[in-house]
Amino acid sequence: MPVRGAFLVIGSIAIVGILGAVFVRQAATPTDDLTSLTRARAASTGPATPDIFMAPTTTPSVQSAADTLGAGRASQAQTAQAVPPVVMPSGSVTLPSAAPAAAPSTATAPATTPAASTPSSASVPISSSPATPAASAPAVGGTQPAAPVDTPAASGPSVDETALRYFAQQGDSRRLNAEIARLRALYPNWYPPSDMSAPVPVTDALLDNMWKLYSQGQYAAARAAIAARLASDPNWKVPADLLARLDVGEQRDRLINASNAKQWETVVQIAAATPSLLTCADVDVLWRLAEAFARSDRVGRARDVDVYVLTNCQDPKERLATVQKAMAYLGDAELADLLALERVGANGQGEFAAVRGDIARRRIGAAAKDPAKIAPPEDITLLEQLARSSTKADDAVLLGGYLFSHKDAEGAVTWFQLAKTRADTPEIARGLAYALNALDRPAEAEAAAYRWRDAGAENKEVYLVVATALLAIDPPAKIEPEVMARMAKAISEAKYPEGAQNLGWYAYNTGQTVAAARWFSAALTWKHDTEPAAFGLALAAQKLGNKVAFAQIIRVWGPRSQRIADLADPTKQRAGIRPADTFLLPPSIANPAAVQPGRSGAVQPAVRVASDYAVPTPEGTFLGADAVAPVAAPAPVRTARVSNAGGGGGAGGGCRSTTRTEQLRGMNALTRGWCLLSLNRPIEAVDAFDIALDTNDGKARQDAAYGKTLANLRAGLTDAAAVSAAAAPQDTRRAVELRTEILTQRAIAAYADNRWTEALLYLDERSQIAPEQNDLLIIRAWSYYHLGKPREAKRLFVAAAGTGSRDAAKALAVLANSQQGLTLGDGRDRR
Amino acid sequence: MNAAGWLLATVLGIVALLPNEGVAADTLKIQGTISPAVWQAYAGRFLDPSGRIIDDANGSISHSEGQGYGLILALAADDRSSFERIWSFTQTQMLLRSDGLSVWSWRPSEPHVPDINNASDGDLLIAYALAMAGRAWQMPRYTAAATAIATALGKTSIVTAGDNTLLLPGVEGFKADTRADGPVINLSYWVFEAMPVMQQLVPGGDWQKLARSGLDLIAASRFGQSELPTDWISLHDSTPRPAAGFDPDFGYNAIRIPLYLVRAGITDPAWLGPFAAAWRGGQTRGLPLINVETNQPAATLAEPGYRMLPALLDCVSNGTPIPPDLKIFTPTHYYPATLYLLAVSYLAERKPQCL
Repeated sequence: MPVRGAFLVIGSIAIVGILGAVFVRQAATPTDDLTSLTRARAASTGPATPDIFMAPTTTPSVQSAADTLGAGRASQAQTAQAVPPVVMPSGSVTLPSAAPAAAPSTATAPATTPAASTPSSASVPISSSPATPAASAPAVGGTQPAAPVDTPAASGPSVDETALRYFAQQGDSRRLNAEIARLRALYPNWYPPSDMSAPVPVTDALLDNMWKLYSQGQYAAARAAIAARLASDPNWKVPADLLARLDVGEQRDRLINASNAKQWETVVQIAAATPSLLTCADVDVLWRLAEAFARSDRVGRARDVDVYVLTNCQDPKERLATVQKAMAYLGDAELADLLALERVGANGQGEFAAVRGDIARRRIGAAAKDPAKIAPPEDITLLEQLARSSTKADDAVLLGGYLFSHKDAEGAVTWFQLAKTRADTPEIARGLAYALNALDRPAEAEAAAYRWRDAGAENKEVYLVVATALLAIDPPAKIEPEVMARMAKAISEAKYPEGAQNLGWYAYNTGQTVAAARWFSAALTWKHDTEPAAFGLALAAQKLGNKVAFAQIIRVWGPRSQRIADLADPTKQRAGIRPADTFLLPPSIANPAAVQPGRSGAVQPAVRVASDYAVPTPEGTFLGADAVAPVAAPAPVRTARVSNAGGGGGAGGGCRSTTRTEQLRGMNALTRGWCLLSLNRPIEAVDAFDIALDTNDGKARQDAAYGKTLANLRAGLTDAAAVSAAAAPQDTRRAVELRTEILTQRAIAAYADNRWTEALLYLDERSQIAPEQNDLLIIRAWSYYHLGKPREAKRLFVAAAGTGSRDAAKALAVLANSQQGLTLGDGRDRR
Repeated sequence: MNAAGWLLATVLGIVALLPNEGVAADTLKIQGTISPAVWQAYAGRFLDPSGRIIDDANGSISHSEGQGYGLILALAADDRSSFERIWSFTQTQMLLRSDGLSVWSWRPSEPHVPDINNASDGDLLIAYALAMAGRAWQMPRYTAAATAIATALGKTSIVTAGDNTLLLPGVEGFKADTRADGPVINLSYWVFEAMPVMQQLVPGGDWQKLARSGLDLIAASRFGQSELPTDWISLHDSTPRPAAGFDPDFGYNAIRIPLYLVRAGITDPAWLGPFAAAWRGGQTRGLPLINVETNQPAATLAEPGYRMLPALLDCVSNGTPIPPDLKIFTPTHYYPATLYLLAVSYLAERKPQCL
């Protein structure tokens, strides 16, 4: 037997085996489909039932119906005869005429014949051993074991080659091959004649026309032609082969249509009932069957069909397409079974090389959405090669997305930057901006995100996030005026409270207090319960000396925020429950004069100190008269940009949720620490910095120690701060900053504990490295007072009052009015 | 005679009494009741060579109902060739649903089948035509196909609601759990003449109960002054009422109800009375569609195919001959032309004296 022939026959076995296994499976569970499936199988095995609906069980009723009709026909004909004849006017056809049309009287003879003589059922024995899916043992290399096939059909001359010769004559190779395959499946001992291209003598023009209609796929017309001829020539015998081919052709159409309409069960039923459709000559049907299995939760069966194709079918394009199509509905494991059947050409190239890239893309794409999923290294390598050699951006974008979601922001930046040289899309901008931001490069991130900021909700969000991160750098970064202007515009248009709040702090920290107040006010307008913005607004109002506004803020927010309430009392402000909250204020707050305001023209709106900002309440109602209309951008800082290694690049709320932080933003522990600190969650920040400390990178370790110290200070853990400050050497600026704050906290703590001498010691030590601002000066004064040195105290109060300290002025009044030296105010506060 | 007893005797007598004998006198034979010339005029207009019946008033789409009518009329013309043509198309292009029913519509443009839902009257008409043709022409494969569709309809579309057995208009969208006012029915989907035939194909089916409920519901659905049913009826409450979201009209659908009653041999005035009254003179003045809430005509249909329906009722009720101008078949559009031929087929078989 020729090898090809063996494939065809065994192929049929395999497919029928696949379907057979379905039957067995279905039979195991009592479902509604059982009947139809078993009926379909019976149809394919029954010797005289080419029609899928034909079921042996229906035969009795069919017979009785036929009998009754036969009895009734005579009377019908009589009735019809009684109808009067008609005229036929032009344009219309007259009625009525029940004149008996073609006489049905002979209908008993030939009508059942075609079905009975149809040999398509010869594929039966194949399906009689349904339980062994041949695909489960794919033969490789063409050495298939001969399956035991009983062939009931006698070999030799009974084979009807009419269709074969017709197709050969028409040059219709697809149908010719299908017919050869079909006949080979039916008659294993039959071989195609060598002379089949010889012209078939046309002896029957009507029949020739039927074959023509069939070969053109006009099955309805072919059916009509057959019926018309039978009506006029009841003795004519329809070639069984023609009927069989029509049945198969119609079922093929129906299968395609059902597949297009996503009626998967119908596809499977038709395939089960029409096994002769399932050959390599018509791979499209096999593909659709595989898809129908897959779409109806039978992925294993789908895999079996595709494995059958790759085991038996030879056409290289169809083999490749089989894998390509399977990618849409098979899982990775099933797909691997198909790839294992790849044939390697003489050049060493696998036949599926063209889809390897697609498969890598698919796996990497799936892994990009799931950080827990690691793409195979060979996929990464392949995609990297493809991305480099391509002129398109897609593969680079895919790699960038995968790496970013797998915490390799650096790699992600590289690929997104490559992608950007090839295309400029919102997706690339977004990926690049997030990756840069995760690397604490918010200025570049802002630049990357800017152009596409209005391309959609996702791009708007990324722009606001990175702009906010840029503003939140501590100490304030140098920002170009046009960048500051566009960030302020975007934040303002989006009514983004987080951004407004950070604009406020940026302005505040650079001495632009009026602008700060307006942005804090805007943040509160857009989000009424933003406590940090209220805190900032209170600070700004206080600094501007706007007593009315300040009092309003204290009244509204005091009951809700201890640190805001404490602002009304300088002692409390330093010695309160959360003393480290003051660390929200960089040094520039304590000593604004130290930071140079911007010199560029776009400084500020006219400074109207009065009440040109409203005070929104947490409930959203305004206490002030004027609504907020933000606002000019704060002037950018003109000082040299300070290294942002210690800055809070992660501000903007990115670390509020753990998953969001680690997966989306890709922050490392250090970034996360800064982020938490900026959210005033110092205890968690300490933990994050602790993790970050575990590194050999000296710079990173230094930053972690710095952050941990700040976090401890913020938490009021002064002794712990002193320890962590010593964990790594810091540069002078940071060392001074930390030492200053440690001493400040210790002085305040001692003062609050009535340990006046200790407080003075700490203040003395502190004054050697940092200027002593008024609040500490007043503590020093009261300490002198309590130690019995009212003159020293008074001298200090006078000095402080001279710089505008209202508390000092009050203290002087107390001293002047009380001969006994009342400990007014502060004593009450300290109990 | 009460309704149920009458029904049993006339509509379903064949099933109850004569399961294996000849066809009862009240069952239509259909075959050979339309002349080849008339059929050619119809087929030339509405039967595409591909085998689909074209609804030329609705964007030249086809629907399962049209395929069913085409099959019935091909049988009436005794045209086996056209029957094969229509059935081949129906089977390969529309009988796609996994539950064994037909999709309700087919568009000439891609995708041909945008909506997979079915229409149960289309399925019923197709099954009926196949069953009748299977008998007439001794074609077991038609009978087998009819049995399969009848079985599928029984499984998917015949439901019990209270005392009633209902034919859901489609598998999706009409039940109580998918509509606030569900179940919603369409009484013109009750092709009464088909029900005994279906019962014979599927002896265990509920077709007998379905026919009985259909008559009860027609009797209970008398809305407005004209006491006529609307096309779409809600059975959510204890009494039927016009369904929400549809015009409250005795409309294009419902005008088939008296046609189907007559064809099933149900000619008693107890059933046809309101229809005959509303249509009096309609064979000349036109067929009125009636809004049962305003009691005003929603439209008056003048095409001869529509006017044939009042003429049919007048013949059946009073023996009035068909007016001369309606004796000439003038195909206008698919739907009235189809109604016309269904009426003519009946008249030729049962009331030739009116023609």
